[in-house]
Amino acid sequence: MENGQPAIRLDHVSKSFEGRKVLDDVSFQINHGQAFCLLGRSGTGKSVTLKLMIGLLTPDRGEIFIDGIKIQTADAKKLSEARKKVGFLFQGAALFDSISVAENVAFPLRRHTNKSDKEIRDIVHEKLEEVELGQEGKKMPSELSGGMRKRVGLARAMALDPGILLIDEPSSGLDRITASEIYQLLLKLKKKQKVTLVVVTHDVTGARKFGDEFAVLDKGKIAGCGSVDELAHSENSLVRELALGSET
Amino acid sequence: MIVSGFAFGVVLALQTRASMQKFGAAAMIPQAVSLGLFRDVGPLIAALLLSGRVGAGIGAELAGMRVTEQIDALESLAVDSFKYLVVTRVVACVLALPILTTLLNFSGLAGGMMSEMFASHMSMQLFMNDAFGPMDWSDYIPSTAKTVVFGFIIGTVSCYLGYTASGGATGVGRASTRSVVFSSLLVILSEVLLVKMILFWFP
Repeated sequence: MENGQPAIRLDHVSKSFEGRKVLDDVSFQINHGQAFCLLGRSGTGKSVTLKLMIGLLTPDRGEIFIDGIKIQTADAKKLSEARKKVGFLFQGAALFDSISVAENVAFPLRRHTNKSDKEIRDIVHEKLEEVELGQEGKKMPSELSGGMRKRVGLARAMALDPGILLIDEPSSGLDRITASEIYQLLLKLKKKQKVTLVVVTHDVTGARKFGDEFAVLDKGKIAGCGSVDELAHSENSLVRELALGSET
Repeated sequence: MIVSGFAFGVVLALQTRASMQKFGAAAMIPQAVSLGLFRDVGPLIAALLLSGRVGAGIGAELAGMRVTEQIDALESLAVDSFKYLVVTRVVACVLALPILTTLLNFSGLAGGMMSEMFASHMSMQLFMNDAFGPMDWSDYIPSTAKTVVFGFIIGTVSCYLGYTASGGATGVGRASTRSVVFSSLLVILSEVLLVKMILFWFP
């Protein structure tokens, strides 16, 4: 897809859990090549928004499109096609704990490609090298630190070279240095591979390193959208606080 | 399964001997052990053992995957998590239980035979003749075939409770416990129905 073309679009999306409205008529569009950061306090529906984007949750109302594919009405084949275009890095990395680090990264390649074992080994090695874990392939996920798990999760999410990467709280549970390493990796992905990034975070200082556009989610609605400087001059005090990085 | 079956065979022979000796029917012990094992006790014990060992494992494993978002990760990688995690486990339970039941039956018979050899110095040949003499295929096939139903119950109940778990580590423990409790209970209840059906078709 060309840069500037719509990668993800949410139209009037609402979602409730047990009567509590988490998202209320949310609409926005993310273009290819863009690094979009969704900011907000804990429990405001940021992670829910990411899960809605790839159909892990179903919205109560509204429509979601990935590269023009309508997620809610897509049949299994179309949904699978859409999901192959998207990598997802979960907050806790969600590595498969019964298989090794290398097998985690190889998993999508074995499921969706006809590559030989040698080709898969080479790609896995390359992906692990990109996240600076080339020597850790034989380890089990339980032997890794939080930061290493996130990087392996990133390598697995990038295994099929998706054009879009959804990232849930890349810095949660990590110290500043490790979080900064993750941000550098995201910046590298954006610059070298032109990956569209959708990052959910409350760490605006870190997100500034790679983000192009920022949106603030508050009480189920988009409270502000634009560059950090634009948000810093918003009339909404929460948006201003988040943009200035004083709210965590 | 083999060790449990062997031990159960020994216990069955010892208990049967205690009762049958009173009526002078000690010679029927091999027959009682084999019919008891193959018709009812073997399949039921095998199913309950599978429920305790594998049912709890499936429940805990899938619940663990659910609460750590591994199932969501599978879906996000365009893999049908239901087919990948549930169907395979249910099929494995359905296929494995008849085989495990057969193993348990024969090891139980070996246990019963050992018990009788020590208790009454009965020869192996005589025990086998007495054990298999009155037996028919209808004593073996329907009762072993019913373990397919038991395997299906254990697989589906454990997978359902694990796959739909929530609530972190507590949820994992709850799913594991419930998997054993509900699958064991359903196995025992279905046994009542299946025995009725088997006796109707193979009186």
